Amino acid sequence: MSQMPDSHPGAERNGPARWAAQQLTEFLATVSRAADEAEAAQLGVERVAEIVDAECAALVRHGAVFASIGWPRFEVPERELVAAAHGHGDGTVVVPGAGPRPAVVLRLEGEDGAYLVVARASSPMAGEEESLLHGMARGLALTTRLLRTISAERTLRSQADRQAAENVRLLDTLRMRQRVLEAMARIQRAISRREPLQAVLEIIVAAAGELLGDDAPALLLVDPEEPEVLRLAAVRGFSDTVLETIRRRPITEGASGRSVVEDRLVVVEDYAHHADALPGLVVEGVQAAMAAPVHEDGKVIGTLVLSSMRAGRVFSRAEQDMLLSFAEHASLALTDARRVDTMLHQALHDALTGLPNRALFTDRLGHALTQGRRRGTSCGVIFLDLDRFKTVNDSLGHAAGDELLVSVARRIDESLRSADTAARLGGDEFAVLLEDLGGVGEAELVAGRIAEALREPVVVRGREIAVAASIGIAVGRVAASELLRQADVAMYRAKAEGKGRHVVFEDSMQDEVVERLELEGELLRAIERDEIEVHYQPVIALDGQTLAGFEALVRWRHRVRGLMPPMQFIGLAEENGSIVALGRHVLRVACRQAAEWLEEFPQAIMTVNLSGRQLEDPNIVADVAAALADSGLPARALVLEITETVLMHDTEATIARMQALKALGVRLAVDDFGTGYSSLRYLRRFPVDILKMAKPFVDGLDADEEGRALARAIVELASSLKLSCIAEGIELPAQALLLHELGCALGQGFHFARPMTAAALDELIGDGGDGRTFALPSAA
Amino acid sequence: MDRAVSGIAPARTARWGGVGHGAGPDPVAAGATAAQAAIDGRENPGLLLVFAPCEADLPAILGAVADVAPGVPLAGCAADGQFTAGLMRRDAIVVLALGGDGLEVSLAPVDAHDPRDAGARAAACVGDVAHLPHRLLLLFADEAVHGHADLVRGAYSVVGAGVPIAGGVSGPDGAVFHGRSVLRGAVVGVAIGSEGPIGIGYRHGLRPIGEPMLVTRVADGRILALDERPAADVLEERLGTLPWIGAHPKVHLGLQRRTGEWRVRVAAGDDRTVEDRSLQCPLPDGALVWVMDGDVEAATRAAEDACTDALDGLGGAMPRALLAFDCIARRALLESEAALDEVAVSYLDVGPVPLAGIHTAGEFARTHGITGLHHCTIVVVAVA
Repeated sequence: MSQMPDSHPGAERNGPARWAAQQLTEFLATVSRAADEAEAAQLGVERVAEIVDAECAALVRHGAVFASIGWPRFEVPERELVAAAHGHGDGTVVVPGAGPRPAVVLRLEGEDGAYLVVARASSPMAGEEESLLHGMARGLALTTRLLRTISAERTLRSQADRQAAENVRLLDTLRMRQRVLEAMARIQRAISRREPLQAVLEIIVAAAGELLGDDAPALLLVDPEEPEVLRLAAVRGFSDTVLETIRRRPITEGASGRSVVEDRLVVVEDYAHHADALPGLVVEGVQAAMAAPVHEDGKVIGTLVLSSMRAGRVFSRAEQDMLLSFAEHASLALTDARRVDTMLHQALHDALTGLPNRALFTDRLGHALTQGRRRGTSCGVIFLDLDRFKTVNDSLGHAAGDELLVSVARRIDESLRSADTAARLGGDEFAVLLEDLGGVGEAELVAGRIAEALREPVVVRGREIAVAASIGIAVGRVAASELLRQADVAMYRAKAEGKGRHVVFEDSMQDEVVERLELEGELLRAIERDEIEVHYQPVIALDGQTLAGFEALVRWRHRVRGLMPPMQFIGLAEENGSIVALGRHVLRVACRQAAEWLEEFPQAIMTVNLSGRQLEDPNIVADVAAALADSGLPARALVLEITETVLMHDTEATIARMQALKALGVRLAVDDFGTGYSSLRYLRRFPVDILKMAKPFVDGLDADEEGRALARAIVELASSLKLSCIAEGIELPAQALLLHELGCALGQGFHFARPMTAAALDELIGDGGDGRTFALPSAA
Repeated sequence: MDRAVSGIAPARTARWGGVGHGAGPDPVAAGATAAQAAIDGRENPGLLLVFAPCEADLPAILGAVADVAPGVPLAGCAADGQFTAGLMRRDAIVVLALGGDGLEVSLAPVDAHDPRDAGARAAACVGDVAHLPHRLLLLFADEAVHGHADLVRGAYSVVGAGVPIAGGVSGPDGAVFHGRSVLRGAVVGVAIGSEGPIGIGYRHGLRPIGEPMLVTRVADGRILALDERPAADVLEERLGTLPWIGAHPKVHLGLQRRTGEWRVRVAAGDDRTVEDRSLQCPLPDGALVWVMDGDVEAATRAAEDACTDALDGLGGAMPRALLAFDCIARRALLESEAALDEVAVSYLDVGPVPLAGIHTAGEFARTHGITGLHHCTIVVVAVA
């Protein structure tokens, strides 16, 4: 028989954390409704089985099965169950339809020879379930005893002279039982409402005090840092003087310590003369105390203590049971509350830096704005984005990037006033909430302090890293989301104006955002509208300054804005994903054009840029193959340019795709070589053929000797790795000459020709064939 | 206890299942048509399960069906909608016949004054088929019977974990059938013993929404208070207004199980709700409950998955018949009855396997653990 239950991810969220304590409350509520012992036993075994999803459960008492569920009525395996209860046999019992299964056996404390035996067909009981089963067994024992007392008292009721007193006792017993349930329900509610852990602890302690009407209840927990110390977690009824003496105590002292060390209920009557008495408490007037251990996953983690100032206080057996039972429940509740607390903290904080996350930040911002409106003050948001963080992450690895973020978080936090809140919004974005601001100036001061704090280089893995951030500031009384957005807009402006500065939001910036959004929409339609053009820049052989190939460069001929260079829209295309379609379009056009030019220049190459997003696209290899096939361009004539940053994400998938591209016969070039990090590592790892020396190295040629040394290093690196080298951005004849002298074979730049349309280039090269010399006017 | 055991055929015939339906102004003709189509001339019929509209002339229908196959055990119930593959009609009579060798049946009609005791007595008939390797206890309960959870628990206390339980509760003002008798305030146990496996699947497809509520007061199968306030008030605040399903407001509440499974209970309003804001719902005191919600897609998938689970339970054996108990309350989820019809018919339409189904006011399915009552659920039984 197979069936799958209805489950839901929500189960995960709400589930295991509070499942056990909730079940115990339900269990006790159910069995406490029983009218007599037999009914309690039957209800008990059924609820136990139901709660842990077991098929079979039995209550064995004095060598016989007292109540059971799960076995056919006349086939209860009594001998097997009794043997299992007493630890004889192989530790299994037969679950009908499933065969022998491990039996969980629980002794009913205080009930001689009584055991609960539970077995289920599916997986064996886990740790938490066993704790719950212990709690239920204790609850069942307690209820059974209460019912027996009631029943005995009922028998005595016939004696008229005792009847009044008996009735009072009977009522007391019933009330006591009700009180346990009510106390437990209160704790349960506190947890289900996700009240803070400390509030739950206070409720547990208050409930324990009310339960038996004693003066000073307390919850002490073992200090996780110092296991030999008990710390006061919550308390009622003691004077401040005493509190100081018991706040932190060795685990070896007092009744509470003993209950933890010996993992049992400790009852101390005639407190002042007891060996476990603490002098401070004697002075306080404690007459009696009892302490019950509190567990988490079966391990003692603390103790619930009741101290009474009533003279001659004696704890009855029922009261002792009640505290034990309550401590058991408190154990489960505490485990739950701790988990909920942890989950809640995790849900609202950034795991890496420990700062509030976006959800908590927005919430606090909302509150601050509401309060600000009442007080007539404004709130400020500082939005901070680290400059070049991605490069650090890519070159030094994510662990280093994480370390850097933690340092940055600390520095931001240290630059703030005590009332300000810093948050990590995600990635390398941080935000700061400034409450009760008099004006923008105050926010700028804080921003300045943060920038100053970040100026000092951060040491990560032995390397000094200079950190700078672009900072946006917005101050006002608008809605939280709006203020955050404004600060974000200002941050973008700061970045655009040059990294490492701060900018205060102004309404005019809003227009830029709208414009950007419009552009984004238009870009998505640009290909359909045939607005994307491909321009070509000649690549020149530096030896004879003849034509060696072309680089395809994309342009967008916008209906209103005119011809737009790539830097105005490629970033946008990367963000909205249209880069893949855009790149495919450019590739096809360039391949067609190259095929045409190849007739005239048989040795020429066509280089086409490939963005990181395109390389992540699983269809890229097929796209390239199709472009080659459709155009008839031989693969050897096509060079795909990839930037260094793309290579630094050296995933297996990237390498596999690059190899597949190589298998087509195309060549790969590294664009802007030298601007990234750790060049050698990936040059060995990736199947590249060509290095394109970045423009700054070409610019540096005529600066000084060091500049020339850098350019030479790149040329020599290419040569030693048997790669070709193309110098980019050659603007002066001297640069072309020097590069040639250094051994760089190819180059491109305004010195030879600007990028232009295919028609313009056709006109430029005329019909000189591949022997065309690029002795341009500027060089003349 | 009145029991009937199928006769022993001299030559072995393969196990078979068949379904038939009938409708029209003449209940006798419709009943006979449905029964004849279900048996379709096959040998050795062992059980007839009859489903008919609550308002029909039930004795006439049962008489007509019984006359088609005299002496064959007959059970079933009046429902609020009957369906078979390709057809769902409020006024249809649907008959599912099971027969052949290696299939034995025993029936136990019981007065259900005390539900726990009634469940136990209805389950006793399983003993008659105990010698067969695969057994199933079907329970048909009348809507007037209170304490459906106790009914199943009583049955479980007798049959134990080795015998799965399935079944459902008749429609409002319904009845259960035993032979030619129409019984009210009763439950009919149908023990099926077979040489072939039997699979059960059940799903509701609902998910929890919002924060949980603590059940703080219950009495007599009613929730009086949630979070210490009148139950209906709390739910009304949560939901804006209490959704009405049929004649009364009904809210689906979910209880979470150890496995992460959500068990659904319908909290229903009635005349007493107006007075004290309490709702009918069998929930334990101290329970933490969530409001449950679903949509057409989830409800549809639930039907499909329940069917798949039931068929998977056959371990590869060929299904001979499918029996479905589909909760009336699922109609609200499916937005319209038309949608429900479509679901019932399309997702349980597994091709050549005969299917009979009814819309129930409570569903029974126990395959693991000890709990067998479900609400807002579709239960599918596959017989090989």
